[in-house]
Amino acid sequence: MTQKIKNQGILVSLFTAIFTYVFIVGVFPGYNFNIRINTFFCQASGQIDGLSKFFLIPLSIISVCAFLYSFYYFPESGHKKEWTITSIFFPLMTFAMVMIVLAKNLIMLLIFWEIMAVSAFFLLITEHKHHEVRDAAKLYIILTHFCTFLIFVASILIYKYTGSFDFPKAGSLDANTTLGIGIFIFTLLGFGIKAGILPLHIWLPSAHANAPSSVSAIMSGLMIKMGVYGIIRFLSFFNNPPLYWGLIIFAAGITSGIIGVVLAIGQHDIKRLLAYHSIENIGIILMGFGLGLAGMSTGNDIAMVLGFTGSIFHILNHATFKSLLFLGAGAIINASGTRQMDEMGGLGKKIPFTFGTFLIASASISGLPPFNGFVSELFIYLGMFAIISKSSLLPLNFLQLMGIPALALIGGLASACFLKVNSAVFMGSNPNLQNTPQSKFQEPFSLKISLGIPALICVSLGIFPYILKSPLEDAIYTITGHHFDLIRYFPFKELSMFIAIFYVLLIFGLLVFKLIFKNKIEYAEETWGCGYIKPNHKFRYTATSFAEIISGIFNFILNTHFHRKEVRGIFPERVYFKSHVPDVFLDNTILPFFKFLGNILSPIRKLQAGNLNLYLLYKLIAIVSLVIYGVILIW
Amino acid sequence: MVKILSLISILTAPVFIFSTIVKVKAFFAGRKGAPFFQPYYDLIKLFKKQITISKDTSIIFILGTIVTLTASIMTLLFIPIIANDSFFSFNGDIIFVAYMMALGRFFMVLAALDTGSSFEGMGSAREATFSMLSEPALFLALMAIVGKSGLISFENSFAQISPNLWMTSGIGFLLIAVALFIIILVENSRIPIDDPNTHLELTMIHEVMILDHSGPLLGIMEISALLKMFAFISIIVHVVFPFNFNNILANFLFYYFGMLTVAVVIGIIESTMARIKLKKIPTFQIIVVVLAGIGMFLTLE
Repeated sequence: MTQKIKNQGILVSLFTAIFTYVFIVGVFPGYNFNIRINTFFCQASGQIDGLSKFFLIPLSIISVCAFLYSFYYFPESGHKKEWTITSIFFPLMTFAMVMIVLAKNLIMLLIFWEIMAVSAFFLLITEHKHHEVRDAAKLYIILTHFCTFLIFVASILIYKYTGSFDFPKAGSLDANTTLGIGIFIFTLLGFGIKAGILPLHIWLPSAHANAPSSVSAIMSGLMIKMGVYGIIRFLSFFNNPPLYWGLIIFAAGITSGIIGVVLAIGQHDIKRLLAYHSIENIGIILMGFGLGLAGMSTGNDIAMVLGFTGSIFHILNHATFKSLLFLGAGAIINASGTRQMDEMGGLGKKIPFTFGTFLIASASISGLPPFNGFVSELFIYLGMFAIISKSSLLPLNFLQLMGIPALALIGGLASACFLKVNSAVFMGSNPNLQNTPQSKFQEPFSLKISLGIPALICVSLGIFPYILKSPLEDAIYTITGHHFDLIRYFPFKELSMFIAIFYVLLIFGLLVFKLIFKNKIEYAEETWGCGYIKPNHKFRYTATSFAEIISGIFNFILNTHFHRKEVRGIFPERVYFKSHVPDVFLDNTILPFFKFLGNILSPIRKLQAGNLNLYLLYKLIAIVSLVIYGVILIW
Repeated sequence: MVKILSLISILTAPVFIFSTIVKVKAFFAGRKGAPFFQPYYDLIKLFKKQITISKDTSIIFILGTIVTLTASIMTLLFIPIIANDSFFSFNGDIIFVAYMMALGRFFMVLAALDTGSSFEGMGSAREATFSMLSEPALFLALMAIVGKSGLISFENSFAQISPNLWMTSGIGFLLIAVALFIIILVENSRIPIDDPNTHLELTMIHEVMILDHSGPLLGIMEISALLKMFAFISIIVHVVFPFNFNNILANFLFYYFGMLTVAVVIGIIESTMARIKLKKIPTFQIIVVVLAGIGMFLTLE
């Protein structure tokens, strides 16, 4: 037992040390990192530049937090198998992601991309005894290979353009060629699957919901960001992206954002809900990136700088608060024994640390000041507002006319959704909790530290975003090839000052309140519940009822299925009510399509008869035809 | 001088607006109405009382109440009150203010939900839904207000709204003003969205959320609500009456005149209209979004 703990301790220290090292070399300016390895088929090379540096920040912090969290999530006893998987594939996946970010060569990128995708698959099926987990993993592995295939095509096209597998220099390719457009399409689709852009997101909700919480955290916080990284990196090769690229990405961002958050509101499963919020935030990131591209192609510097910065900043922010939310969700599920929010309640007093950090993350993800989500959204807002004053080009005006209300709506919906989550999970009283053993409510150090660090980042970046000024500038330099002084575009100083004023006022208010009214507070009774003698947790306003009006408004997207039995007669039978929100794209479009395809193509299945002789015949035919083809070629 | 007068307005104008609405409603009903300073008396009475809190609540209940008040105060730092002078201003303060209001609402709803009462859950769900729907309209209106001024702050934007601008793109601004006015009704729970005077839990939105707040906590909620209404009305006054007399006192008086007008209009609407059906409110709000969108497009030239 002690030996085991020691081993794991060593493992964690090594892990932390490596990532601290990467973090330091990555973030400290002036350090150049170059590797060039000659393999038998190509030269693999890697280098740290501004964009890689920026991505290393969340990679190094969040992966360590999520790994530490595994100690809480899979305690020593009884989780030997889970620990084996975690301790092999977790570091491997993180390592692969670091190498993806460092890669400057298409082959190297693809190799590590596969390592990342496959390690994620093994991490995802850690709890493979549940059939949902296996289904989710199956869907994931199919789509991730499709994703790799598309990226492969994009890479081949780049190779065809430049004649080398090395990354082309930023801004060296011409966008207005057939190859350029081809690269754009395959980049967007390929990396888009990994990023979870709607409607390519279909693998994402079930994978995030069924993985262990620590894995969901890095999947959502880091892995899907690799998709965004790929889009940003590949599109930065072009020197003159046409306006419609920006508009397409922006439109994809708006759709993902709004539909993602609407689908989130309809969910009953806390982790599925968070998964849909990842889609929403990818939407916000893409809105920023699309805005930046559109600004680039129209020569609107303000929109370009603010758009790109907002998008990249939001990547870091989303990595912190979303992984915090997933880790918190793990603790919640552990304490309540279910993933259904309607069954929870009253956990706030039992797991106060989780409650506090979860609340901070909820406010951040809703884009509320004084937390970090607000800062990156402010970048994007300012960029969109800047178009009004600088340009009267119609497509651009259209962009802001759609974009600003859309971002406002996304923020409003997200805050409504997280109000629902917080109230359903933490608030009110829940008599069921009395039967739960106290050990479920423990919050050990490994949990506290893995929740505390991201929460601290949320708060400190919200009050003092200036810390990130130079990493952000470097990242923008990598994308655009120009150096911009962000202080000219964004009110760092004023924002920090007013947020500080807000905190001062708040603390002052609390102190005054405490001083004056402390003796006047009386905790009298439980909340009035209409006089029922034995109320249960469902007497509160549940999560489903909280979202009822909103899901009614957006029913054209959600398409909720209701299963119910009405109350009838004088002595009514037992009644029930259930509702279920299918995924519009997966359940209503893609699965029926493949079913249809399967039916149509079933005659072809006869080729695969299970007869060995037949297969040998196929091989023979293949070889003979290849020989004939070769002979013709030589001729 | 301007700052002192602004401070005076912050301390008096919210109650002034509130009492004007009450008086107008009383006039229509043929009553005398409560004394003009009644809100002050009520607040003093509330602050003298004891606080009774449900055992089910956590620290969020008190924290949420204070955050709501702080957020309301923060918004007032940036909204110009007399002429175009606000206490502070920076590039982006319009968005900051809009999100501060959202923060206040977030914590108000959170405090209500903290009690675990299903009544307050009902009110909270409604508040969250309806304010979420008015967000796009608010931002469209703000876009029109920002217009072509380079810096995205209230001071700059209000400075460029002039009677001349109303001459050139009056229809657009009219639509924006109407949209803003309806947003005020929604955000401050007035008729036809919500009735601040009913006391049946099932029909209320804002009032039902503060059912479990008592004494000073209720007082703080009332103050935040008053300040919020004041902030919104200040914005609309600057859009509808964009006059600057270059004389502080004249501006000050004119500002109160604008406030009075808006308050009287609200009073008249409350006296002559009934509440909309709860289910119809979202449709109504989507119409407002469209209205604001068209208005915004017309102000683009």
